[in-house]
Amino acid sequence: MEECKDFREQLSLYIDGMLDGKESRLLEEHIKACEDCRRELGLLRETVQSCRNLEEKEPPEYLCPMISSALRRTRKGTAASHIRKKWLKPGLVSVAAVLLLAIAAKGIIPGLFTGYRTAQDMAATDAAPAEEMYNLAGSEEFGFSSEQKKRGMEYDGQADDAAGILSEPEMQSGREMGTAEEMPPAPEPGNLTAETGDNLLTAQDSRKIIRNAELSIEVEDFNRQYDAIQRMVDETGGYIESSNSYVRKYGSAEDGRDFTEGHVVIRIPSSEFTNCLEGISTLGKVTNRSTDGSDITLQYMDTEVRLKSMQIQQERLLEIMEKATLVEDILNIENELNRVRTEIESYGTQLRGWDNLVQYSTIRIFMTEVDDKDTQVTALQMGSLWDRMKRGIIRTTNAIMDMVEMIIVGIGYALPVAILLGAGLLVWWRIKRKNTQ
Amino acid sequence: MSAELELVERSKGGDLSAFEELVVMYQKQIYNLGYRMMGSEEDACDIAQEAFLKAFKSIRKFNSKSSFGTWVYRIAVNVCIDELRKRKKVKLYPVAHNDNPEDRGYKLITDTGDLPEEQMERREVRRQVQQAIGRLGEEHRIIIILRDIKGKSYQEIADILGLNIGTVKSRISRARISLKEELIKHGELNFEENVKKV
Repeated sequence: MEECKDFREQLSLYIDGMLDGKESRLLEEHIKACEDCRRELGLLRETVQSCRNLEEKEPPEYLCPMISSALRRTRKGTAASHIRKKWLKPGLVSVAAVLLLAIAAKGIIPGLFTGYRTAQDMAATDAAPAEEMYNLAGSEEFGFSSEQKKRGMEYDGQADDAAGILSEPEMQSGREMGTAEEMPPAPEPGNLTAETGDNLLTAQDSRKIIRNAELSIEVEDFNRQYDAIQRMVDETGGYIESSNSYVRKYGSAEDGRDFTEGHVVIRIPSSEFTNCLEGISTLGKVTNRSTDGSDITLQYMDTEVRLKSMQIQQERLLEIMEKATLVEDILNIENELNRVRTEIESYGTQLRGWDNLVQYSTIRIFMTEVDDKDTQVTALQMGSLWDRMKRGIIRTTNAIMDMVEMIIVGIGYALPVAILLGAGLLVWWRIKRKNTQ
Repeated sequence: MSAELELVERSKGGDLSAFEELVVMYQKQIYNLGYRMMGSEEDACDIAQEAFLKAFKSIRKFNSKSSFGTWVYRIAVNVCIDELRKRKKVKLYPVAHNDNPEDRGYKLITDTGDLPEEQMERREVRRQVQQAIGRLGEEHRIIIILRDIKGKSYQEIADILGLNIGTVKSRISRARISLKEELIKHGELNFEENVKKV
């Protein structure tokens, strides 16, 4: 029966003549012997035959026209949908590709689409010069600017050149004795303040304080306020130490003119300090304000003491000088005198500098022009309207150019990604085509 | 063949009349396929229509390497199978009692001088065979139709159904056995008698 099973599987093929010669013979031999299989073969043959006897039917006459009209109906829709379908896939693919490109580009260059570069650059370059100015001013706190030195020297009625002062003692000493009075009078604590004005006598008694202030204000008219500051300074007996103004690189007024801004450093008598500060604050809108005071009383007194001792030494040396007879001695004393006088000068200079700082407080003012929109109803500036429009067009065009540049650069960055994508899609499409065949 | 190829090419270009000629060429075969699969004339027409419509819609994808007939057959087979699966959920294969397909367009090829009784008998037999086929599963049914009714070669069947020859061989064998069982079970044919004649 095992055998029969194998042969049964082959019966169908035998009927169709799909067995090779050897297999056929084997089967026929078995059939002769096995009645069951013979019977089976017969039944199968009958089955097949009965199928073959089935007639091929003629389709009804209406079938063809039915199909034709159906074809025509769909053809109208097909044409349009074909085009749509034809372009749909490529369209979707290209849109997806562009999106992927943009995302990739944005990922690689984070700041790609912001467009804020220029403004940031502007701000950076503008901050620098201002800081520089302030740094310079700051370093002057305990040092001396050449101008201060000049002022200091004036009290002695000497020449402006500091070197000149130092060399004078040597000249003087060459003229030997009796010239003690002609020597530059050593600045004594009390003299300085007394020479400059009565209102400062009280300062002498109180502590030595150096006052500074920094003020940032927004004004409508730079020049006008500058003049106002000038007047204020003159009235109080101070002076403008330095000023600097320039045109702002970005932004402009309603009427098209550019904004001016700048720094002014003024020195005013310390007694007027507070008043002046308040006065300047009224000139515009204060955006930043800071004050500080340094108490240098101890250093000042220290230096004064040193100066005094140097002076005493000088006196003694002079006394000794009168009694000296030997050339060698005289020369030695001269050397000592030089040294002492140098020290005196140095201390003197320092004290004078401090006096100036204490006497005259410093106010650093930063002014910038702005448009004040709240003061009046600004009429439509017809004259500049055209200019502004032109500028607007130019600006937008530039921005678009920048954008295009960015996109092109971005495409360059994302090109490798796109190539990989394209290759992948091609492979997938090929596979799909193969499957539908 | 070349004439058919030309028609195919023109149809690809959207020439409706060319395609209609193809329809004429193949409608009978497809209709019969549909009829044998579905068991009713109406369904056969629907199947044929849908098959040809689908063929026209996707004719651009058809590459002229394979035979057009095989390709259309494949489409028709798929349409039938889809339809049958849909119907499985609703009802079984309709036993066409009322439908007397044998009466329409009926051509007696072999009947020459047979007695009316014998004709009737033969008609009855055929009807029963058709019903037996209808009781087969879709897979077996289609194989029987393609092989024993249409007389397609093993290779052609392999192409139409997208199977390899080995599968085709075993399926034909199994389908025939199934059909045989069906015929015996329902006692529609006197196999016992006929066998003896073999």
